[in-house]
Amino acid sequence: MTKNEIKTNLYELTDTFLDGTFEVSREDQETVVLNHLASDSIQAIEFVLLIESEFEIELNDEDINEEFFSNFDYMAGLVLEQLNSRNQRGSDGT
Amino acid sequence: MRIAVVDSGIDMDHPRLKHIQCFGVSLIQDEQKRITVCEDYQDRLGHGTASAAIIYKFCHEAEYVAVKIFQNELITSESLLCRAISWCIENSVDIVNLSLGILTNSPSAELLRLCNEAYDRNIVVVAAAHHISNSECYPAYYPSTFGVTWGNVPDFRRYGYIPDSPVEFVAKGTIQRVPTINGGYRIQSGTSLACAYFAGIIAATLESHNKMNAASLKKHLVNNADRNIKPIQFGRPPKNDFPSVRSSDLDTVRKRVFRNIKEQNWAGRLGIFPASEKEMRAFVELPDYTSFPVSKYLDYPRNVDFRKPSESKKDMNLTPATYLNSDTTEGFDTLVLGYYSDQMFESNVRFGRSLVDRCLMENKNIFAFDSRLQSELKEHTRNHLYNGSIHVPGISRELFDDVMKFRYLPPVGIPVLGVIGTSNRQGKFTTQLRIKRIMENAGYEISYLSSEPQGELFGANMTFPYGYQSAVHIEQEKWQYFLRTYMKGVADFLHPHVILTGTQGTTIPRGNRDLIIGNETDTLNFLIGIMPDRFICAINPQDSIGYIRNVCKVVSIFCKASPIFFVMTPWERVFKRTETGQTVAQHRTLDEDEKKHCQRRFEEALDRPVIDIMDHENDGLILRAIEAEFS
Repeated sequence: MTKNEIKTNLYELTDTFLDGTFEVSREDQETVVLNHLASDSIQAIEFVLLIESEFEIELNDEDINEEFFSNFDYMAGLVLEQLNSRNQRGSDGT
Repeated sequence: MRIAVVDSGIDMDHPRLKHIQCFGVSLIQDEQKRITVCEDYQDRLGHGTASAAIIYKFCHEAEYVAVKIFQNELITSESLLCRAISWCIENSVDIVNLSLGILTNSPSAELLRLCNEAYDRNIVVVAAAHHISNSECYPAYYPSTFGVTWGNVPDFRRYGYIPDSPVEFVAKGTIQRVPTINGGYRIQSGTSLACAYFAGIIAATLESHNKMNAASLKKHLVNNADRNIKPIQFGRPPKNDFPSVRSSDLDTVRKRVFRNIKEQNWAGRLGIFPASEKEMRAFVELPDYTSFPVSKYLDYPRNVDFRKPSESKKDMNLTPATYLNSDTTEGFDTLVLGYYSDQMFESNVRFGRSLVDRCLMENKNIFAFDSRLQSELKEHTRNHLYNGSIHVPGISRELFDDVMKFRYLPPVGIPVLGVIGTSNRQGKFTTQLRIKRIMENAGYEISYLSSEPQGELFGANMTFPYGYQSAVHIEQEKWQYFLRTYMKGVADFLHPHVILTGTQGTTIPRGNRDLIIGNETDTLNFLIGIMPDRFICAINPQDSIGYIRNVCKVVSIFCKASPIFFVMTPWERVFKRTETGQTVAQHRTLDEDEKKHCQRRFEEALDRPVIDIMDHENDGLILRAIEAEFS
C-alpha cells in the first residue's frame, strides 16, 4: 500500500467516523477536521483505535501527538511505517 | 534502582506494563486525619498507570513502587503527600515521581524539610509544575526538587532547560495517547506526563552514570539539555514578574541577603549630620544603641529647629559648626548624612555641601539617607580618586530579585512584633530600639527589620525606608511579596526568637476627609507585608480614644493582630504661627501630673498598659508583657 492510498483510506475512515460533518479530503480543511477530532479526548482515542483496527497495526503512544491531529500526511506516514515494520517482522518470521 | 510513583496507584495488568516489577502501598487518611498504610495499590483513576507506563519506557530493569495517595478522585492532602515522601525516604527509593503539586504561596515547612532531606540523601524528587506557567506550585518550586513543565518535544527522550525559571526542566507533555485502567488508553496532555517523561530520562541517566549524586545529576541534566526546547506558556502572562526561585548560587545569595548584623563591618566611628534632624534623634538620645560608636555631632550653622531642645539635647556634644575648619571632620570615618539639601536656608545647604565635599576628599564613608543624593555622590567619586564607600540604604530591584528567590520558604513560624503609631514624631523608632535592647538583655535573639534609613546603624538586619524620600525602588503592589518573603528568610536562616519591626508615620488618616492622605497607604502596605502577630502602639496625649481604637481596629482587620501595650510620648503637639507667618508644630513636654493623668485615662479606656518607653524602670514590665503574649 502506498502512502497516497493510505491517505485516501484515512480520508474515508475519518469521513465515516465524523458522519459527513466536514469535507475531509479538502486540504485546507485538514487541520480543522483533525483539531475537531482532538478536541474531545474520548472521540480522539476512539478514532486512533479505529485506525489501528482498520490497518491492523499498533501506533506508538508518543507518536499520537499534535502533529497527528493536524495533518493526514503525517498520519499516513506513521501508518505506512507500522505496516512496513509489520511486514518486515513477518518476513523475518518474528 | 527503585522508582516510586506517588499517584493513584498502578494497574499492573495493563499490556504496556508487561513484565514490570512492582509492589506498592496505599496511604489513606481518615476523618480524624490519621494516616494508615495498606497494601491495595490498584489504580482506579488511570493517572498513576499513565505515569508508570511512561517511566517504564525508559527503564525496564527498575523496581517500581506504587505509593497511592489518590483514591477515588485526583485530590489529596498535603499531609498525605508528606507521608508519601517520607515513606519513599524510609524505603530507599532512588527516584520519586510526583506528577502532582500543591498550588499555594505558603508551602508548609514539613514539605520543604522532606524534599530537602530527600535531596541530601540523593533521592531524586521529580515534581510537576502547574500547567498555568506562573502559578506557584509545590514541591516543583523547591530548589531541592527537579521541577518539570510541559513543552512540545518531538523526541520524547529529549528535554529542555529554562534558565532563571522557577521550574527548570521541560519535557514532553503535549497531547498523546497514554495507558489507563482496565487495559485501556486515553488521549491526554499536561505537566503530569512531562514529569513522568523527565523521571524516565533521569532513570535512564542514572542507569548509565550510577555514581551520580543529586547535585551532579542536576548539573549533568542542565549541561545536556536541548536549548531549542521551549515550555508552553499557558494562561495569562505573569502578573508579578518574580524572578526564579532557583539559582545556581542560591547559597551565596542567601548569605548576602539574610545577613546577621554582627557580620557588618564597613563603618568605624560615626559623624552625624545634621544632628537636629528628627531621623538623628536616636543617635543623640541613645548613642550606645548604635552598632558603631558615634564620635561627632555636626549641625547647621543656622538654627532651624523650632522645638524647644529636650534635656538630652542640651547635654549632647553638638559641634556648633558655623564654618568648616581643619577639626570639623576629625575623629570619624563615616559621615551619617541626613536630608540636608531640603533646608530652606541656603547657608545651611551650602554648609552641608561643603561638609560632604570635604568628607569625600578625605575618603570618608558616606551613609546617606537621601536616595536623591546617590547619583550625585557616585558622580563625585567618578571624578575624584576616592577610596571610601557610599551607602544609601534602600530596596533596589536587584535586592527584590534576590529576596524573591526564596519565596518557596514556609510561612514565618516565629513571633513577629510590630511597633505602630497614631502619628509621626512619636518615637516609634526609639521604641523599637528600646524593645530590642530589653529583649536582648533578657537573652533573646532578635532580628530587626527597620523602616527607617538609619535602622541599619542600630542593628537592623535590613531597612525598608518607605517614608520621606523613599528609597524603596519597587512597585507598591510588590511590597507585601517582598516583605513576607524576607521575613520567611529571616525566620528560616537566622533563627531568631522574635522578628521586630515597625512602621513610619501615621496608620490611618486623621481629621478632615478632604485632606490629602499622607503615607497611610504605604504604612498599610508595609503592615500587610510584615503581618505582625502582636503590636505596640505609640500614642499622643491629645489622641482621642476613638481614634486610637480605630488605629488598632484597622491593624486588627488587616493583620489579625492585637496590641500588647501602648507607649505615650509625653509631648503635646501644638501648632503656632511664627513671626514670618508660617504655621509650625511645637512640642510641649507634659509635667509629671499631666503625664500620669493622661496615662491613667488611656489605660482605663483601652484596657492595656500605657508605658513610658524611655523610663528604664519599666523594662521588666515591658519584657513580661511581651513574654506573656508569645509564651
